[in-house]
Amino acid sequence: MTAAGRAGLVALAAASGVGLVLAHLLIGRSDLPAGDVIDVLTGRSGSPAHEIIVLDYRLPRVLVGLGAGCLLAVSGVLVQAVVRNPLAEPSTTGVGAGAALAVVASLVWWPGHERAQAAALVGAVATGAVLYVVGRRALAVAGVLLGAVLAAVTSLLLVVDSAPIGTVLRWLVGSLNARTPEDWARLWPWLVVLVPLAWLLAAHLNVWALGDAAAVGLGVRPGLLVAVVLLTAVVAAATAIAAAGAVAFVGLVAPHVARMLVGADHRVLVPASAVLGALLLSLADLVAFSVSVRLPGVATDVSGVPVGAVTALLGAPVLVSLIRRENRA
Amino acid sequence: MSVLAARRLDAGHGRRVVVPGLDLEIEAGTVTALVGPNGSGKSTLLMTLARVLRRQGGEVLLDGEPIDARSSVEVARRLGVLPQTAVVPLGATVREVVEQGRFPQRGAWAMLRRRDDGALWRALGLTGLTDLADRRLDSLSGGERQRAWIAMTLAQETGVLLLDEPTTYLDVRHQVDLMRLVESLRDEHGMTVVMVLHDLNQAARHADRVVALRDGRVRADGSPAAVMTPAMLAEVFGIDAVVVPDPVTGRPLFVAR
Repeated sequence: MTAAGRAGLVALAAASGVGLVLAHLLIGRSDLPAGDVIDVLTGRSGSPAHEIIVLDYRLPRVLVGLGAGCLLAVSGVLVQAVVRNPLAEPSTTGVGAGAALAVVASLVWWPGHERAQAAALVGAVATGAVLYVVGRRALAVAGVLLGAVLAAVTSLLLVVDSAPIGTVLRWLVGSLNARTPEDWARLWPWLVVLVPLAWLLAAHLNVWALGDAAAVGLGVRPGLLVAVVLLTAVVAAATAIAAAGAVAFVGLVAPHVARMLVGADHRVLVPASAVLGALLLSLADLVAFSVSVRLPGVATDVSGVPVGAVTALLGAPVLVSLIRRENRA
Repeated sequence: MSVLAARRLDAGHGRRVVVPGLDLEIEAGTVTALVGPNGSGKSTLLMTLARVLRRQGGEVLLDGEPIDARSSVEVARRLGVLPQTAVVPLGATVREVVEQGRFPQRGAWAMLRRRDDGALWRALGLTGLTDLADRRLDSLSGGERQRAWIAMTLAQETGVLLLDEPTTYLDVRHQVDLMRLVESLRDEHGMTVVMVLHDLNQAARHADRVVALRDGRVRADGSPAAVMTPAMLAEVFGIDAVVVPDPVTGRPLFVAR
Protein backbone atom coordinates (compact mmCIF):
# COMPACT_ATOMS: atom_id res chain seq x y z
CA MET A 1 0.00 0.00 0.00
CA THR A 2 1.31 3.46 -0.93
CA ALA A 3 1.86 6.24 1.57
CA ALA A 4 -0.89 8.29 -0.12
CA GLY A 5 -3.31 5.37 0.07
CA ARG A 6 -2.53 4.92 3.73
CA ALA A 7 -2.99 8.63 4.48
CA GLY A 8 -6.32 8.46 2.64
CA LEU A 9 -7.47 5.54 4.79
CA VAL A 10 -6.47 7.31 8.00
CA ALA A 11 -8.36 10.45 6.91
CA LEU A 12 -11.41 8.37 5.97
CA ALA A 13 -11.36 6.58 9.34
CA ALA A 14 -11.04 9.86 11.24
CA ALA A 15 -13.91 11.42 9.28
CA SER A 16 -16.11 8.35 9.85
CA GLY A 17 -15.31 8.46 13.55
CA VAL A 18 -16.25 12.12 13.91
CA GLY A 19 -19.40 11.55 11.81
CA LEU A 20 -20.47 8.57 13.94
CA VAL A 21 -19.92 10.42 17.22
CA LEU A 22 -21.91 13.43 15.97
CA ALA A 23 -24.73 11.21 14.67
CA HIS A 24 -24.95 9.41 18.03
CA LEU A 25 -25.02 12.71 19.92
CA LEU A 26 -27.65 14.26 17.64
CA ILE A 27 -30.06 11.32 17.36
CA GLY A 28 -32.23 10.41 20.32
CA ARG A 29 -35.72 10.02 21.63
CA SER A 30 -35.92 13.58 22.90
CA ASP A 31 -35.89 15.99 19.95
CA LEU A 32 -32.95 18.03 21.06
CA PRO A 33 -32.06 20.59 18.34
CA ALA A 34 -28.57 20.23 16.88
CA GLY A 35 -27.71 23.73 18.06
CA ASP A 36 -28.40 22.79 21.69
CA VAL A 37 -26.19 19.69 21.40
CA ILE A 38 -23.38 21.84 20.02
CA ASP A 39 -23.90 24.32 22.86
CA VAL A 40 -23.50 21.53 25.42
CA LEU A 41 -20.36 20.24 23.73
CA THR A 42 -18.77 23.70 23.59
CA GLY A 43 -19.74 24.40 27.21
CA ARG A 44 -22.15 27.26 26.44
CA SER A 45 -25.37 25.53 27.48
CA GLY A 46 -27.26 26.80 30.48
CA SER A 47 -29.69 23.89 30.61
CA PRO A 48 -28.77 21.06 33.01
CA ALA A 49 -31.38 18.84 31.33
CA HIS A 50 -29.59 19.16 27.99
CA GLU A 51 -26.26 18.42 29.62
CA ILE A 52 -27.64 15.27 31.18
CA ILE A 53 -29.11 14.06 27.86
CA VAL A 54 -25.92 14.69 25.87
CA LEU A 55 -23.16 13.99 28.39
CA ASP A 56 -24.73 11.30 30.61
CA TYR A 57 -26.95 9.41 28.15
CA ARG A 58 -25.70 9.86 24.60
CA LEU A 59 -21.95 10.35 25.04
CA PRO A 60 -21.30 7.23 27.20
CA ARG A 61 -23.20 5.10 24.71
CA VAL A 62 -21.05 6.14 21.75
CA LEU A 63 -17.80 6.02 23.74
CA VAL A 64 -18.51 2.56 25.17
CA GLY A 65 -19.50 1.39 21.67
CA LEU A 66 -16.23 2.62 20.14
CA GLY A 67 -14.14 1.18 22.99
CA ALA A 68 -15.84 -2.20 23.13
CA GLY A 69 -15.71 -2.57 19.32
CA CYS A 70 -12.01 -1.75 19.40
CA LEU A 71 -11.28 -4.38 22.09
CA LEU A 72 -13.39 -7.06 20.37
CA ALA A 73 -11.48 -6.52 17.11
CA VAL A 74 -8.10 -6.55 18.91
CA SER A 75 -9.09 -9.75 20.67
CA GLY A 76 -10.15 -11.27 17.33
CA VAL A 77 -6.97 -10.35 15.47
CA LEU A 78 -4.78 -11.70 18.32
CA VAL A 79 -6.53 -15.06 18.55
CA GLN A 80 -6.58 -15.37 14.75
CA ALA A 81 -2.82 -14.80 14.74
CA VAL A 82 -2.16 -17.42 17.42
CA VAL A 83 -4.25 -20.18 15.83
CA ARG A 84 -3.44 -19.02 12.26
CA ASN A 85 -7.15 -19.18 11.44
CA PRO A 86 -9.13 -16.09 10.36
CA LEU A 87 -12.35 -17.61 11.74
CA ALA A 88 -11.33 -17.31 15.40
CA GLU A 89 -12.98 -14.61 17.54
CA PRO A 90 -14.68 -14.43 20.97
CA SER A 91 -17.94 -15.90 19.63
CA THR A 92 -16.24 -18.83 17.84
CA THR A 93 -13.70 -19.71 20.55
CA GLY A 94 -16.19 -19.97 23.42
CA VAL A 95 -14.49 -17.10 25.27
CA GLY A 96 -17.53 -14.87 24.67
CA ALA A 97 -19.90 -17.58 25.90
CA GLY A 98 -17.69 -18.17 28.96
CA ALA A 99 -17.67 -14.47 29.86
CA ALA A 100 -21.43 -14.18 29.28
CA LEU A 101 -22.11 -17.25 31.46
CA ALA A 102 -20.06 -15.81 34.30
CA VAL A 103 -21.79 -12.42 34.04
CA VAL A 104 -25.25 -14.03 33.97
CA ALA A 105 -24.36 -16.26 36.91
CA SER A 106 -23.14 -13.25 38.89
CA LEU A 107 -26.37 -11.38 38.04
CA VAL A 108 -28.47 -14.30 39.29
CA TRP A 109 -26.73 -14.30 42.66
CA TRP A 110 -25.87 -10.61 43.05
CA PRO A 111 -28.13 -8.28 41.05
CA GLY A 112 -26.41 -5.15 39.74
CA HIS A 113 -23.68 -4.55 37.18
CA GLU A 114 -20.80 -3.69 39.51
CA ARG A 115 -19.41 -7.21 39.32
CA ALA A 116 -19.79 -7.58 35.54
CA GLN A 117 -16.14 -6.77 34.75
CA ALA A 118 -14.74 -9.17 37.35
CA ALA A 119 -17.21 -11.91 36.38
CA ALA A 120 -16.50 -11.51 32.66
CA LEU A 121 -12.77 -11.68 33.33
CA VAL A 122 -13.08 -14.82 35.44
CA GLY A 123 -15.34 -16.50 32.86
CA ALA A 124 -13.21 -15.53 29.86
CA VAL A 125 -9.86 -16.39 31.46
CA ALA A 126 -11.21 -19.73 32.71
CA THR A 127 -12.53 -20.57 29.22
CA GLY A 128 -9.25 -19.46 27.68
CA ALA A 129 -7.29 -21.63 30.12
CA VAL A 130 -9.43 -24.67 29.33
CA LEU A 131 -8.89 -24.02 25.61
CA TYR A 132 -5.14 -23.62 26.09
CA VAL A 133 -4.87 -26.93 27.96
CA VAL A 134 -7.28 -29.20 26.09
CA GLY A 135 -7.57 -27.60 22.67
CA ARG A 136 -4.20 -26.18 21.72
CA ARG A 137 -3.85 -28.52 18.76
CA ALA A 138 -7.39 -28.00 17.42
CA LEU A 139 -8.43 -24.67 18.90
CA ALA A 140 -11.13 -23.94 16.31
CA VAL A 141 -13.13 -27.12 16.89
CA ALA A 142 -12.56 -27.11 20.67
CA GLY A 143 -13.70 -23.46 20.85
CA VAL A 144 -16.98 -24.03 19.03
CA LEU A 145 -17.75 -27.07 21.21
CA LEU A 146 -16.86 -25.21 24.39
CA GLY A 147 -19.02 -22.25 23.34
CA ALA A 148 -22.02 -24.52 22.72
CA VAL A 149 -21.64 -26.20 26.13
CA LEU A 150 -21.29 -22.86 27.94
CA ALA A 151 -24.33 -21.39 26.13
CA ALA A 152 -26.33 -24.47 27.16
CA VAL A 153 -25.27 -24.02 30.80
CA THR A 154 -26.34 -20.36 30.60
CA SER A 155 -29.79 -21.33 29.30
CA LEU A 156 -30.07 -23.89 32.09
CA LEU A 157 -29.27 -21.19 34.63
CA LEU A 158 -32.08 -19.06 33.20
CA VAL A 159 -34.56 -21.91 33.44
CA VAL A 160 -33.60 -22.77 37.02
CA ASP A 161 -33.54 -19.20 38.25
CA SER A 162 -35.97 -16.63 36.89
CA ALA A 163 -33.45 -13.87 36.30
CA PRO A 164 -34.73 -10.69 34.62
CA ILE A 165 -34.70 -11.99 31.07
CA GLY A 166 -34.31 -8.59 29.38
CA THR A 167 -31.17 -7.77 31.33
CA VAL A 168 -29.76 -11.23 30.82
CA LEU A 169 -30.38 -11.22 27.08
CA ARG A 170 -28.46 -7.97 26.93
CA TRP A 171 -25.30 -9.80 28.04
CA LEU A 172 -25.91 -12.80 25.82
CA VAL A 173 -26.61 -10.90 22.59
CA GLY A 174 -24.72 -7.72 23.39
CA SER A 175 -26.27 -4.29 23.75
CA LEU A 176 -25.20 -0.68 24.23
CA ASN A 177 -28.61 0.52 25.37
CA ALA A 178 -28.63 2.67 28.51
CA ARG A 179 -24.84 2.91 29.01
CA THR A 180 -23.70 5.19 31.81
CA PRO A 181 -20.61 7.36 32.39
CA GLU A 182 -19.55 4.71 34.95
CA ASP A 183 -19.44 2.08 32.18
CA TRP A 184 -17.05 4.28 30.23
CA ALA A 185 -14.98 4.97 33.34
CA ARG A 186 -14.55 1.22 33.85
CA LEU A 187 -13.69 0.62 30.18
CA TRP A 188 -11.14 3.24 29.14
CA PRO A 189 -8.22 2.26 31.44
CA TRP A 190 -8.22 -1.20 29.83
CA LEU A 191 -8.20 0.34 26.36
CA VAL A 192 -5.15 2.41 27.23
CA VAL A 193 -3.26 -0.71 28.35
CA LEU A 194 -4.50 -3.46 26.01
CA VAL A 195 -4.40 -1.76 22.59
CA PRO A 196 -0.73 -0.65 22.85
CA LEU A 197 0.17 -4.07 24.32
CA ALA A 198 -1.44 -5.80 21.32
CA TRP A 199 0.58 -3.60 18.97
CA LEU A 200 3.82 -4.36 20.84
CA LEU A 201 3.22 -8.05 20.11
CA ALA A 202 2.98 -7.39 16.34
CA ALA A 203 6.58 -8.28 15.45
CA HIS A 204 6.27 -11.62 17.26
CA LEU A 205 2.92 -12.30 15.57
CA ASN A 206 4.48 -11.72 12.13
CA VAL A 207 7.11 -14.38 12.89
CA TRP A 208 4.55 -16.74 14.44
CA ALA A 209 2.45 -16.54 11.25
CA LEU A 210 5.17 -18.49 9.38
CA GLY A 211 4.43 -21.70 11.29
CA ASP A 212 5.80 -23.31 14.45
CA ALA A 213 9.02 -24.62 12.88
CA ALA A 214 9.99 -21.35 11.16
CA ALA A 215 9.08 -19.34 14.27
CA VAL A 216 11.27 -21.50 16.53
CA GLY A 217 14.06 -21.20 13.96
CA LEU A 218 13.80 -17.40 14.24
CA GLY A 219 14.06 -17.54 18.04
CA VAL A 220 10.43 -17.34 19.19
CA ARG A 221 9.48 -19.39 22.26
CA PRO A 222 6.10 -20.86 21.31
CA GLY A 223 4.66 -21.66 24.76
CA LEU A 224 5.44 -18.22 26.16
CA LEU A 225 4.23 -16.31 23.09
CA VAL A 226 0.95 -18.24 22.81
CA ALA A 227 0.26 -17.75 26.53
CA VAL A 228 0.94 -13.98 26.47
CA VAL A 229 -1.08 -13.36 23.29
CA LEU A 230 -4.03 -15.49 24.39
CA LEU A 231 -4.11 -13.84 27.81
CA THR A 232 -4.12 -10.37 26.21
CA ALA A 233 -6.87 -11.46 23.80
CA VAL A 234 -9.00 -12.99 26.53
CA VAL A 235 -8.71 -9.95 28.82
CA ALA A 236 -9.63 -7.67 25.88
CA ALA A 237 -12.68 -9.80 25.08
CA ALA A 238 -13.74 -9.92 28.74
CA THR A 239 -13.46 -6.14 29.11
CA ALA A 240 -15.50 -5.55 25.95
CA ILE A 241 -18.13 -8.08 27.04
CA ALA A 242 -18.37 -6.56 30.52
CA ALA A 243 -19.11 -3.22 28.88
CA ALA A 244 -21.33 -4.26 25.97
CA GLY A 245 -22.22 -7.93 26.33
CA ALA A 246 -21.12 -10.80 24.11
CA VAL A 247 -21.43 -8.99 20.76
CA ALA A 248 -20.72 -11.53 18.03
CA PHE A 249 -18.74 -11.13 14.80
CA VAL A 250 -17.05 -7.74 15.35
CA GLY A 251 -13.85 -9.62 16.16
CA LEU A 252 -14.28 -11.52 12.90
CA VAL A 253 -15.42 -8.83 10.47
CA ALA A 254 -13.11 -5.97 11.53
CA PRO A 255 -9.81 -7.92 11.11
CA HIS A 256 -11.16 -9.45 7.88
CA VAL A 257 -11.87 -6.05 6.31
CA ALA A 258 -8.60 -4.68 7.75
CA ARG A 259 -6.66 -7.53 6.11
CA MET A 260 -8.24 -6.67 2.73
CA LEU A 261 -7.35 -2.98 3.18
CA VAL A 262 -3.81 -3.08 4.65
CA GLY A 263 -2.56 -6.67 4.21
CA ALA A 264 -1.16 -9.26 6.60
CA ASP A 265 1.56 -7.28 8.40
CA HIS A 266 0.47 -7.18 12.05
CA ARG A 267 2.30 -3.91 12.65
CA VAL A 268 -0.42 -2.26 10.54
CA LEU A 269 -3.12 -4.91 10.83
CA VAL A 270 -3.49 -4.64 14.63
CA PRO A 271 -4.13 -0.86 14.72
CA ALA A 272 -6.25 -1.02 11.55
CA SER A 273 -8.43 -3.77 13.08
CA ALA A 274 -8.76 -1.78 16.32
CA VAL A 275 -10.00 1.33 14.47
CA LEU A 276 -12.33 -0.65 12.20
CA GLY A 277 -13.78 -2.58 15.15
CA ALA A 278 -14.56 0.69 16.94
CA LEU A 279 -16.23 2.18 13.84
CA LEU A 280 -18.10 -1.03 13.04
CA LEU A 281 -19.68 -1.52 16.46
CA SER A 282 -20.57 2.16 16.69
CA LEU A 283 -22.18 2.07 13.24
CA ALA A 284 -24.11 -1.10 14.07
CA ASP A 285 -25.29 0.57 17.28
CA LEU A 286 -26.45 3.62 15.34
CA VAL A 287 -28.54 1.24 13.19
CA ALA A 288 -29.90 -0.55 16.27
CA PHE A 289 -30.78 2.71 18.00
CA SER A 290 -32.33 4.28 14.90
CA VAL A 291 -34.57 1.24 14.53
CA SER A 292 -35.60 1.48 18.20
CA VAL A 293 -36.41 5.19 17.84
CA ARG A 294 -38.27 4.95 14.52
CA LEU A 295 -40.34 1.82 15.00
CA PRO A 296 -43.46 2.35 17.06
CA GLY A 297 -43.77 -0.01 20.01
CA VAL A 298 -40.02 -0.71 20.26
CA ALA A 299 -38.47 0.48 23.48
CA THR A 300 -35.34 2.64 23.48
CA ASP A 301 -34.34 1.81 27.03
CA VAL A 302 -32.53 -1.32 28.24
CA SER A 303 -34.83 -3.64 26.27
CA GLY A 304 -34.45 -1.79 22.92
CA VAL A 305 -32.99 -3.44 19.82
CA PRO A 306 -29.62 -4.88 20.96
CA VAL A 307 -26.58 -4.02 18.83
CA GLY A 308 -25.60 -7.71 18.92
CA ALA A 309 -28.60 -8.49 16.71
CA VAL A 310 -27.34 -6.02 14.09
CA THR A 311 -23.73 -7.29 14.15
CA ALA A 312 -24.99 -10.87 13.82
CA LEU A 313 -26.90 -9.91 10.66
CA LEU A 314 -23.81 -8.12 9.31
CA GLY A 315 -21.36 -10.79 10.41
CA ALA A 316 -23.05 -13.97 9.28
CA PRO A 317 -22.50 -13.33 5.52
CA VAL A 318 -18.83 -12.47 6.16
CA LEU A 319 -18.40 -15.70 8.14
CA VAL A 320 -19.97 -17.71 5.32
CA SER A 321 -17.72 -16.10 2.70
CA LEU A 322 -14.64 -16.74 4.87
CA ILE A 323 -15.55 -20.41 5.25
CA ARG A 324 -16.11 -20.72 1.50
CA ARG A 325 -12.72 -19.18 0.82
CA GLU A 326 -11.09 -21.53 3.38
CA ASN A 327 -12.63 -24.51 1.62
CA ARG A 328 -11.44 -23.35 -1.79
CA ALA A 329 -7.87 -22.77 -0.60
CA MET B 1 36.49 -27.29 17.11
CA SER B 2 33.25 -28.38 15.56
CA VAL B 3 30.55 -25.75 15.02
CA LEU B 4 27.67 -28.10 15.69
CA ALA B 5 27.77 -31.45 17.44
CA ALA B 6 25.42 -34.15 18.65
CA ARG B 7 26.44 -36.23 21.69
CA ARG B 8 24.51 -39.43 22.36
CA LEU B 9 21.54 -37.60 20.81
CA ASP B 10 18.10 -39.25 20.84
CA ALA B 11 15.87 -37.55 18.27
CA GLY B 12 12.22 -38.30 17.57
CA HIS B 13 8.60 -37.18 17.67
CA GLY B 14 6.64 -37.25 20.91
CA ARG B 15 7.81 -40.32 22.79
CA ARG B 16 8.93 -42.21 19.67
CA VAL B 17 12.70 -42.17 19.24
CA VAL B 18 13.61 -42.22 15.54
CA VAL B 19 17.34 -41.56 15.79
CA PRO B 20 18.87 -43.20 18.92
CA GLY B 21 22.21 -42.34 20.52
CA LEU B 22 23.74 -40.45 17.60
CA ASP B 23 27.17 -38.80 17.65
CA LEU B 24 27.97 -36.28 14.93
CA GLU B 25 30.50 -33.46 14.58
CA ILE B 26 30.07 -30.75 11.95
CA GLU B 27 33.28 -28.87 11.08
CA ALA B 28 33.26 -25.11 10.43
CA GLY B 29 33.13 -23.98 6.80
CA THR B 30 31.95 -27.29 5.37
CA VAL B 31 28.89 -28.43 3.44
CA THR B 32 27.38 -31.66 4.75
CA ALA B 33 24.57 -33.57 3.04
CA LEU B 34 22.30 -35.90 5.03
CA VAL B 35 20.91 -38.61 2.76
CA GLY B 36 18.81 -41.69 3.33
CA PRO B 37 15.56 -43.35 2.32
CA ASN B 38 12.15 -42.05 3.47
CA GLY B 39 11.73 -42.56 7.21
CA SER B 40 15.46 -42.89 7.84
CA GLY B 41 15.33 -40.02 10.35
CA LYS B 42 17.40 -37.47 8.42
CA SER B 43 14.84 -34.62 8.67
CA THR B 44 14.08 -35.54 12.30
CA LEU B 45 17.80 -35.34 13.05
CA LEU B 46 18.18 -31.98 11.28
CA MET B 47 15.16 -30.45 13.04
CA THR B 48 16.39 -31.72 16.40
CA LEU B 49 19.83 -30.18 15.78
CA ALA B 50 17.92 -26.98 14.95
CA ARG B 51 16.05 -27.23 18.34
CA VAL B 52 12.74 -27.12 16.36
CA LEU B 53 12.00 -30.63 17.64
CA ARG B 54 12.59 -31.26 21.33
CA ARG B 55 15.34 -33.79 21.81
CA GLN B 56 14.60 -36.98 23.71
CA GLY B 57 18.03 -37.33 25.25
CA GLY B 58 21.70 -36.48 24.87
CA GLU B 59 23.10 -33.10 23.94
CA VAL B 60 23.43 -30.70 21.04
CA LEU B 61 26.48 -28.43 21.16
CA LEU B 62 26.64 -25.14 19.24
CA ASP B 63 30.19 -23.71 19.10
CA GLY B 64 31.13 -26.22 21.78
CA GLU B 65 28.48 -25.11 24.30
CA PRO B 66 25.15 -26.79 25.07
CA ILE B 67 22.57 -25.17 22.76
CA ASP B 68 20.24 -24.49 25.74
CA ALA B 69 22.92 -22.32 27.36
CA ARG B 70 21.90 -19.49 25.03
CA SER B 71 18.46 -17.93 24.58
CA SER B 72 16.48 -19.02 21.54
CA VAL B 73 17.01 -15.60 19.88
CA GLU B 74 20.78 -15.80 20.45
CA VAL B 75 20.80 -19.25 18.85
CA ALA B 76 18.81 -17.80 15.91
CA ARG B 77 21.56 -15.21 15.35
CA ARG B 78 24.06 -18.03 14.85
CA LEU B 79 21.94 -20.82 13.33
CA GLY B 80 19.41 -20.44 10.48
CA VAL B 81 16.76 -23.08 9.75
CA LEU B 82 14.82 -23.80 6.58
CA PRO B 83 11.95 -26.10 7.60
CA GLN B 84 9.75 -28.05 5.19
CA THR B 85 6.57 -26.98 6.91
CA ALA B 86 6.56 -23.17 6.67
CA VAL B 87 3.12 -21.56 6.49
CA VAL B 88 2.28 -18.84 3.95
CA PRO B 89 0.51 -16.09 5.93
CA LEU B 90 -2.77 -15.00 4.32
CA GLY B 91 -2.03 -12.12 1.92
CA ALA B 92 1.64 -11.65 2.89
CA THR B 93 4.08 -10.35 0.28
CA VAL B 94 7.50 -11.86 -0.51
CA ARG B 95 9.23 -8.88 1.10
CA GLU B 96 7.15 -9.17 4.29
CA VAL B 97 8.00 -12.86 4.66
CA VAL B 98 11.72 -12.46 3.91
CA GLU B 99 11.86 -9.50 6.31
CA GLN B 100 10.96 -11.88 9.16
CA GLY B 101 14.43 -13.37 8.76
CA ARG B 102 15.74 -10.14 10.30
CA PHE B 103 13.83 -10.76 13.55
CA PRO B 104 16.67 -12.36 15.55
CA GLN B 105 19.33 -9.85 14.43
CA ARG B 106 17.24 -6.69 14.73
CA GLY B 107 15.17 -7.73 17.75
CA ALA B 108 11.42 -7.52 18.36
CA TRP B 109 11.38 -3.80 19.27
CA ALA B 110 13.29 -2.71 16.20
CA MET B 111 11.07 -4.94 14.04
CA LEU B 112 8.09 -2.77 15.03
CA ARG B 113 9.54 -0.01 12.85
CA ARG B 114 9.66 -0.38 9.10
CA ARG B 115 13.18 -0.23 7.75
CA ASP B 116 14.73 -1.27 4.50
CA ASP B 117 17.87 -3.06 5.34
CA GLY B 118 20.70 -4.32 3.22
CA ALA B 119 20.48 -7.92 4.38
CA LEU B 120 16.87 -8.17 3.23
CA TRP B 121 17.69 -6.96 -0.29
CA ARG B 122 20.86 -9.06 -0.49
CA ALA B 123 18.82 -12.16 0.36
CA LEU B 124 16.21 -11.27 -2.29
CA GLY B 125 19.00 -10.68 -4.81
CA LEU B 126 20.80 -13.96 -4.08
CA THR B 127 17.58 -15.93 -4.67
CA GLY B 128 16.55 -13.91 -7.76
CA LEU B 129 13.42 -12.51 -6.10
CA THR B 130 14.14 -8.77 -6.25
CA ASP B 131 11.51 -8.22 -8.96
CA LEU B 132 8.91 -10.28 -7.08
CA ALA B 133 9.42 -8.48 -3.74
CA ASP B 134 5.97 -6.88 -3.64
CA ARG B 135 4.03 -9.86 -5.03
CA ARG B 136 1.77 -11.86 -2.75
CA LEU B 137 3.47 -15.11 -1.76
CA ASP B 138 0.23 -17.12 -2.17
CA SER B 139 0.05 -16.03 -5.84
CA LEU B 140 3.50 -17.48 -6.68
CA SER B 141 4.57 -20.92 -7.91
CA GLY B 142 5.88 -23.59 -5.55
CA GLY B 143 9.44 -22.96 -6.69
CA GLU B 144 9.19 -19.20 -6.17
CA ARG B 145 7.75 -19.76 -2.69
CA GLN B 146 10.58 -22.13 -1.85
CA ARG B 147 13.09 -19.47 -2.95
CA ALA B 148 11.31 -16.95 -0.70
CA TRP B 149 11.74 -19.30 2.30
CA ILE B 150 15.42 -19.73 1.41
CA ALA B 151 15.76 -15.93 1.14
CA MET B 152 14.18 -15.59 4.60
CA THR B 153 16.77 -17.99 6.03
CA LEU B 154 19.60 -16.11 4.26
CA ALA B 155 18.31 -12.75 5.57
CA GLN B 156 18.95 -14.16 9.04
CA GLU B 157 22.72 -13.80 8.25
CA THR B 158 23.84 -16.69 10.42
CA GLY B 159 27.13 -18.54 10.29
CA VAL B 160 25.40 -21.92 10.25
CA LEU B 161 22.54 -22.99 7.96
CA LEU B 162 20.37 -26.09 8.36
CA LEU B 163 18.32 -26.71 5.20
CA ASP B 164 15.61 -29.38 5.06
CA GLU B 165 15.19 -30.47 1.43
CA PRO B 166 15.98 -27.01 0.04
CA THR B 167 15.65 -28.10 -3.61
CA THR B 168 12.02 -29.25 -3.23
CA TYR B 169 9.71 -27.66 -5.86
CA LEU B 170 12.65 -26.05 -7.66
CA ASP B 171 13.11 -26.58 -11.39
CA VAL B 172 16.50 -27.84 -12.60
CA ARG B 173 17.97 -24.42 -13.23
CA HIS B 174 17.02 -23.12 -9.79
CA GLN B 175 18.35 -26.32 -8.20
CA VAL B 176 21.71 -25.70 -9.86
CA ASP B 177 21.62 -22.03 -8.82
CA LEU B 178 20.86 -22.98 -5.23
CA MET B 179 23.68 -25.51 -5.02
CA ARG B 180 26.12 -22.93 -6.45
CA LEU B 181 24.80 -20.42 -3.89
CA VAL B 182 25.49 -22.91 -1.07
CA GLU B 183 29.05 -23.41 -2.35
CA SER B 184 29.66 -19.67 -2.58
CA LEU B 185 28.28 -19.12 0.95
CA ARG B 186 30.89 -21.61 2.15
CA ASP B 187 33.76 -20.27 0.03
CA GLU B 188 33.16 -16.53 0.37
CA HIS B 189 31.54 -16.25 3.81
CA GLY B 190 32.97 -19.32 5.53
CA MET B 191 29.47 -20.55 6.31
CA THR B 192 28.69 -24.03 7.57
CA VAL B 193 25.79 -25.77 5.83
CA VAL B 194 24.02 -29.01 6.76
CA MET B 195 21.27 -30.02 4.36
CA VAL B 196 18.92 -32.91 3.80
CA LEU B 197 18.96 -33.87 0.11
CA HIS B 198 17.00 -36.52 -1.76
CA ASP B 199 19.10 -36.35 -4.92
CA LEU B 200 22.25 -38.43 -4.22
CA ASN B 201 24.09 -37.14 -7.26
CA GLN B 202 23.43 -33.58 -6.12
CA ALA B 203 24.77 -34.49 -2.67
CA ALA B 204 27.89 -36.09 -4.15
CA ARG B 205 28.49 -33.18 -6.48
CA HIS B 206 28.12 -30.30 -4.01
CA ALA B 207 28.78 -31.59 -0.49
CA ASP B 208 32.18 -31.95 1.20
CA ARG B 209 30.81 -34.74 3.30
CA VAL B 210 27.91 -37.15 2.88
CA VAL B 211 26.22 -38.82 5.86
CA ALA B 212 23.95 -41.72 4.90
CA LEU B 213 21.29 -42.79 7.41
CA ARG B 214 19.01 -45.78 7.53
CA ASP B 215 16.61 -46.63 10.35
CA GLY B 216 18.02 -43.79 12.44
CA ARG B 217 21.62 -44.97 12.31
CA VAL B 218 24.61 -43.67 10.36
CA ARG B 219 25.56 -46.37 7.80
CA ALA B 220 28.19 -44.39 5.90
CA ASP B 221 29.97 -41.11 6.60
CA GLY B 222 32.77 -39.40 4.71
CA SER B 223 33.76 -37.77 1.45
CA PRO B 224 31.41 -38.34 -1.50
CA ALA B 225 33.98 -40.71 -3.07
CA ALA B 226 34.15 -42.79 0.10
CA VAL B 227 30.39 -42.92 0.70
CA MET B 228 28.95 -43.23 -2.82
CA THR B 229 29.75 -46.87 -3.50
CA PRO B 230 27.63 -49.66 -5.00
CA ALA B 231 27.82 -51.41 -1.61
CA MET B 232 26.38 -48.37 0.24
CA LEU B 233 23.64 -47.88 -2.39
CA ALA B 234 22.65 -51.51 -1.95
CA GLU B 235 22.74 -51.45 1.86
CA VAL B 236 21.14 -48.08 2.54
CA PHE B 237 18.79 -47.59 -0.40
CA GLY B 238 18.33 -51.18 -1.55
CA ILE B 239 19.24 -50.40 -5.17
CA ASP B 240 21.54 -52.11 -7.62
CA ALA B 241 23.65 -49.36 -9.24
CA VAL B 242 26.92 -48.55 -10.90
CA VAL B 243 29.02 -45.57 -9.82
CA VAL B 244 31.02 -43.66 -12.43
CA PRO B 245 33.06 -40.43 -12.22
CA ASP B 246 30.94 -37.50 -13.42
CA PRO B 247 32.39 -36.03 -16.62
CA VAL B 248 32.55 -32.44 -15.27
CA THR B 249 34.07 -32.72 -11.79
CA GLY B 250 35.09 -36.36 -11.50
CA ARG B 251 32.90 -36.79 -8.41
CA PRO B 252 30.95 -40.05 -8.06
CA LEU B 253 27.75 -40.29 -10.10
CA PHE B 254 25.39 -43.22 -9.67
CA VAL B 255 23.18 -44.79 -12.30
CA ALA B 256 20.66 -47.44 -11.31
CA ARG B 257 20.92 -50.71 -13.18
